[in-house]
Amino acid sequence: MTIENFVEKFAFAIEVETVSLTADTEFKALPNWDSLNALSVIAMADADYGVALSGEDVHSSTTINDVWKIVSARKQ
Amino acid sequence: MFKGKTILVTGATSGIGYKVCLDLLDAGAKIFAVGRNQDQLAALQKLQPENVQTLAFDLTQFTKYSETFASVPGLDGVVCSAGIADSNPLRFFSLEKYQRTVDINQTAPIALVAELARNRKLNAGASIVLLASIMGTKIGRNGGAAYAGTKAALTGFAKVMALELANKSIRVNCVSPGMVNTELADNQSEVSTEARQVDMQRYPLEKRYAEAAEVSSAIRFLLSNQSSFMTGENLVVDGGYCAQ
Ligand SMILES: NC(=O)c1ccc[n+]([C@@H]2O[C@H](COP(=O)([O-])OP(=O)(O)OC[C@H]3O[C@@H](n4cnc5c(N)ncnc54)[C@H](OP(=O)(O)O)[C@@H]3O)[C@@H](O)[C@H]2O)c1
Repeated sequence: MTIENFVEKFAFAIEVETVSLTADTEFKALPNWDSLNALSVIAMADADYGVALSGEDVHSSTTINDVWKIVSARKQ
Repeated sequence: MFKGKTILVTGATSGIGYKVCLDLLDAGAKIFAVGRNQDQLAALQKLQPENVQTLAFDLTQFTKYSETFASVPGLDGVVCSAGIADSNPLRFFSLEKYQRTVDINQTAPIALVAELARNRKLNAGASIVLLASIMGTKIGRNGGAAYAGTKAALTGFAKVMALELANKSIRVNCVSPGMVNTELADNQSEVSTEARQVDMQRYPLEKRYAEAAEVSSAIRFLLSNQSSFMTGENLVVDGGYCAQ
């Protein structure tokens, strides 16, 4: 359970290369970001971490690290 | 309009099904309310104890159908409203979630109608209404393949059931709403408040989702004699969404 790992999974969810993302990436500003990506990130948190993320959680987050903070807090 | 009629409603404990129960009781019907939430069922029965029978039952327990529905009286109408909507995008496709959706949304309505038909629980002239959706029958939406598939299946079921039951003048139709303000819509936690507001703007009529009452009135129309020559059809109630 590391942020590096989460960034990797985030990249898989939104179908971009892992190298193009960091923990500080403002994901909603990415050119390919859309509502399917949001659903995908929520499904990834459920499938890979057993954490229920809401649309509101994704909407209120700016960076990938913001999402990670929510996921890792709920994972505990 | 429904005096002396008995109508079975699944999903009676919430949203559209609950509103259908209230409206049918107001119109003089007796109802047979099916759901899992016992408190809600008890609350329904308290409204008109002499006109409400309740059944607490998980509709995915298919092996228990014959014993469970043996006590159902002769019915003049059936409304299959029980259903769930789970987001299940292809990239993280969960077979378990898919199966759960199919069980309750698709298998339960056909298993129930078959059970009732086989045991002659459907009176001549009865009307069956299946809750489909514009999802799957008219449009798609990200993450909703399982849900869409089950709803499209219901419109197929209605056509075939309409043919198989026509000799007893039993009619079978679907109602396909767009988004409706119910717990099902509220529980779509993957949709943020902002995304919901944007989505509402896509509804030509008044930029809003339907109220359960607006779907219930379409269901009552299909249950009533006013639609006596309609069968195998799908009635869309979507504020003009699919007209675009
Ligand atoms: N709301 C919408 O935007 C919308 C749009 C288009 C179509 N629809 C369709 O309309 C129907 C009603 O939706 P709604 O908005 O009224 O939903 P809702 O408020 O969430 O109510 C769903 C109902 O289904 C019942 N149910 C779920 N799983 C069940 C199970 N395993 N066994 C027995 N009952 C079960 C629930 O009963 P318990 O909680 O008591 O188990 C509840 O009464 C659904 O088929 C839905 O797909 C809804």
